[in-house]
Amino acid sequence: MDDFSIEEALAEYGRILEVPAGRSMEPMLRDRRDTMVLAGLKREPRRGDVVLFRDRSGGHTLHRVIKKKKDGYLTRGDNCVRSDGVCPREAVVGILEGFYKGEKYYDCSSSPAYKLYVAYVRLSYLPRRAANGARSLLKKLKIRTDEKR
Amino acid sequence: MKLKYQFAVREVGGSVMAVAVGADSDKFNGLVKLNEVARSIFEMLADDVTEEEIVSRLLDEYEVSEEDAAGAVSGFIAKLRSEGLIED
Repeated sequence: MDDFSIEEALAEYGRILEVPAGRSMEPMLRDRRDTMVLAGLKREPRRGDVVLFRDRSGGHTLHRVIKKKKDGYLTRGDNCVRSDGVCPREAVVGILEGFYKGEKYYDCSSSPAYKLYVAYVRLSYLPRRAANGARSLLKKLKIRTDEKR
Repeated sequence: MKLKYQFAVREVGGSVMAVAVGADSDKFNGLVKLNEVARSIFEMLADDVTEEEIVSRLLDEYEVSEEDAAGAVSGFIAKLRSEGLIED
């Protein structure tokens, strides 16, 4: 078996199978349970695409493009309320083409279920962010109350 | 013998690839590319099998000689062993 980086594997094979690590893209991609098909970049990523990019730590992150910016892409995990900041264009190395949940394959360009999910992620962002803010505030109030006792 | 890790075997753009899943994905983070025969052998190795059993099943599936089947199995298993993917 040859030693390849993800970039080299994508250049060699065009598409690779990978396992997501972490929970930032749940519920779509479950940590180490689902599998995903990553493809090399053949077009400019669009809003809603899930892209693989080299992050500031030197590792790779797979998050969704929320907005195209002049110098790159604003990205965020589906299970996150904060964005990652702007990912430079040259840092993007691949794009999510589809994923398997068990044996069932979802094609990101054609699956109706996936398109519905993407719409849900977009529409639910503000309510989720508000709920997260409320939870943080309640937590802070509880800590202050506990300290006063 | 069997595979040391749990793998998901999936079709990817006309090819077949396998990756370790679950807790095993921390222990093996490589990508295994399989042709049709290798896929059959790989999937058999999800359970405890002997080389002879694998050869026998290949002879049922494919029109090959026993010598060719045994050679293919032996070579592929040696390759998997060299990558630390087989446990006895």
